[in-house]
Amino acid sequence: MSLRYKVVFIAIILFIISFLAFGSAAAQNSIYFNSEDITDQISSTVVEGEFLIKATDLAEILEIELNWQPALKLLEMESNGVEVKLMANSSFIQIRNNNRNDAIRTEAGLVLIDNQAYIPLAKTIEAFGYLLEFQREEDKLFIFQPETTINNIEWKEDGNQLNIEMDEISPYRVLQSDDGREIIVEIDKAEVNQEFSDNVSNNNFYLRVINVPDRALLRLVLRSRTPIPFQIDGGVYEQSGEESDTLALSFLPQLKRVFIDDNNVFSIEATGEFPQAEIDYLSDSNRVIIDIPSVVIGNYAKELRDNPLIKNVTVSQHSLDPVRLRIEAELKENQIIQAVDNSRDRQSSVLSFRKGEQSEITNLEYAAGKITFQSQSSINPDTFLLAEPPRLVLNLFNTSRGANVADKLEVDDPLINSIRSARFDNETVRIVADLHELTGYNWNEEMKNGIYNYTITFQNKFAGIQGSEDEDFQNLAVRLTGNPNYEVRKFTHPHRIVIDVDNTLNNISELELPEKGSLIKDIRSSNYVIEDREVTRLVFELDEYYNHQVNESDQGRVINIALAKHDDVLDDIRDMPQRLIVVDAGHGGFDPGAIGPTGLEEKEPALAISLKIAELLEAEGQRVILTRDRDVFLSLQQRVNIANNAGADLFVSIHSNATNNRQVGGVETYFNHRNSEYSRRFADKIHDKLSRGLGLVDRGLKNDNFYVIRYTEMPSALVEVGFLSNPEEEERLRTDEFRNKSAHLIVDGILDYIRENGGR
Amino acid sequence: MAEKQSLFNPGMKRKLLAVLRILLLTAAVVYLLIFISNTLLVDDQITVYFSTEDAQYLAAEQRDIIEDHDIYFQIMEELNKGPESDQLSATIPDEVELLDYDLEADTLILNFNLALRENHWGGSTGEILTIYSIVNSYTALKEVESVQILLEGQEVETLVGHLDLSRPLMYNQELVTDN
Repeated sequence: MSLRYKVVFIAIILFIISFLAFGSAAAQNSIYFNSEDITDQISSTVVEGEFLIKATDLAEILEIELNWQPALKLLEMESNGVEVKLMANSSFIQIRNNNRNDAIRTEAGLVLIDNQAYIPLAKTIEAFGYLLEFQREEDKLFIFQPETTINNIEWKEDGNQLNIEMDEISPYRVLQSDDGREIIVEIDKAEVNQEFSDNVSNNNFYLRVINVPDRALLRLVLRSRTPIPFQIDGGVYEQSGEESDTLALSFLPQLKRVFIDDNNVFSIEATGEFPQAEIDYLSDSNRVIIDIPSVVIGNYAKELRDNPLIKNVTVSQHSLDPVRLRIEAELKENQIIQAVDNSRDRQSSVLSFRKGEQSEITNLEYAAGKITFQSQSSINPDTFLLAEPPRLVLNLFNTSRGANVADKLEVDDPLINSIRSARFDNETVRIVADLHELTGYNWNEEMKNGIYNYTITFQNKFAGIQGSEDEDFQNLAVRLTGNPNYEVRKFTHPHRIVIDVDNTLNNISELELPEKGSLIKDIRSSNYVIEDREVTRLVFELDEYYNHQVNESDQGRVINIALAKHDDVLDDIRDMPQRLIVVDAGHGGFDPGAIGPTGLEEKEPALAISLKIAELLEAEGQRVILTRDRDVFLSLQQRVNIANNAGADLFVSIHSNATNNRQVGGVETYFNHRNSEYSRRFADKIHDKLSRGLGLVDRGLKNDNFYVIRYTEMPSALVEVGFLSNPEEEERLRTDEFRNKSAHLIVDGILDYIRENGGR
Repeated sequence: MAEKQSLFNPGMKRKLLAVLRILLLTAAVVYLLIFISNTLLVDDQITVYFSTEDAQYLAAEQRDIIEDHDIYFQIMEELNKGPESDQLSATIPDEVELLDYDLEADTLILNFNLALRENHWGGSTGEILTIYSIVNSYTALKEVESVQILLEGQEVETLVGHLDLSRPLMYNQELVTDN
């Protein structure tokens, strides 16, 4: 091949190399010592896959004393009391450190190139106690001096805390193995003190300290036979001391002891405080199941000496997510146990039980879908429904019947025929409710003055919906099997009356619905969730806006709604509660608020409308506080304080709007969703009147973060009556007629709200 | 002569040229990729919000980032300039200046001169559109979660008597419309 051809060929190769070098400079191996790039200061090579560095270069960087014995081809190095020897043709590195000898095997050993010694970089610096980190993605090799020393690891807090003492805390990670039996603490750039000794390993735990030089970190591995009660979230604390820092891993308490003392008190003790246990008495098998959250099983002692109370106890880790310990106590024949209330002793690391006494069941009663009775101590009944004939059975374990409990209560209501009670066996009272048909029920316990009150509430059903009509009213009667809580509300757009009933089965489809009459367009029902509460919702669609009144009859079993056909009829019959209403005229004093094109200042109509509102409300028998009754400045905080300090029931703030577009006009009402659900309803009532009665554009009911409606502690609304920036609306806001009309409409809305919601 | 023929052998020359072309093409593609990843993938636009004509909503417009210019000041300059679309209205009163700003964690503290209050036209609607055009424009930056507004270095209860400015405000989605 000719010379010229070779020249061209080499030029192409050079081009490729330079291109590759430019394209990926990182492909080169760079070496950093204490964050300084030392790649250019060292000569290196690779032999048998091992990275070798020229010994004299390494000595210079690490300040190592170097001695070469040519006859033996032996390289001796010394630094800070550590001696390292390498010999040509041997793959071992000999290390002498504090009179301890060690040898590390390498691949290549010492290699002579051009009469210069090259030695394995990684193993040599490891021998001198340096740390290495190789970032594979970037091909960068980092050499570090350890930045912290771990001096001691020990248990604290009765074994609930593992303390790692080190010079200073460097970045670390705490990891837990999938089976929960291993905790790994990785500490960056750390070494272990030469005098470190293992005080951690014991019956439960085994500690290993692993140096991971190629990642420049130290790994502490704690292994246990049982899952380690460590919570990754929030389980690690850092404490700084004068001389050293401590990394503390806190563990959940472990079961320490299950025992019976000389007074035959059965106790469960953990190494730390634990939350309230859940105690279940199983009446059929004489067993008690005690579930303790956030406690792990650990290495506990069981000391059940010969005792009259407990036959046997089994302990198990019921679950780890969430952590829950289960203790099952098998009682001796005819024995019962009762938890001892030791909350006063603040000894919440111990749960104790003593021999229990039977408690007496008294005052068994029935009213409107509810069975109630009392007991001197807490009981956990076994309840179940039986189909043939339909009945609800309650087995009350560990009780007897009080004198005032009759064998049979004749009830005869739409739900229940009768209630019977009897002694079932020596420990158990049985209550049976004979039902007309199977019905859902709820169970509730309430402690009052040391007496436990129990209520069994049967799920209600709709028994019928009736309609009737006369000259003035369309009447609706919704009959239920019991007297559940309910709420009647009126909505607009479209107009409708809504009844939300708690704890009631939606059986509307089985009922015969009333003739729709002249006012009702449709009747619908649905199941609905409001604020986590499940309700059955009954909706009466109306074709127009009607005033209405609600009352109940037959012990709350019938909800009566009267829809007024004319505006005037309800005035006579309503019984309006008196409420305290704060009326807040916006702006004032040096704060004019918005200013209209011809100079009308917002503070003026706001005050005029507010004074009129106060006058009208007082005429309706309501109590009113005005935040200002003259042209004076108040901060928003002061306005809120006036309402909150007075304990007002309602708050309404009066404003006029503005924007920088003169075309824009209309009425808006604001509520704040953080205040309460009632604020929306309150604002809706006012807005409904204003938007339909004022003759301005309806810009909507809006939710925003306004100061006075956010911080007032009662239902509150902020009204924007027209836009002062709009010339036509400014002119209207100047007139008494418009101001009075606004005030009337706002008052109508307020009274509507009070009428429907009781105004709170 | 024979040498020359071997060097400039037409077949060989074609091969060499082909290799060179492929190399150049590869290089060009790689440079193009680097260029794209460095420039186009980086967001070089900011979002600023203005009022819709009916003063019910805020709508976004995009602006190119001015190189070597502080992006926080640029956002306020764009808000001051007002919208490009004639379907939208400006929300910032005359003479408003952003005096300085400070990003503490993800809360941006914006310090304005008093013109923001004194030249403001007032009204709940006016205040909402002014404040949230600022808040939504700044929280559109990925490093800003909430905005606290100061006037001449002082914390304020409110701007013109309605909105609660005593705490940082977050992006307001309800106010934003697409058109």
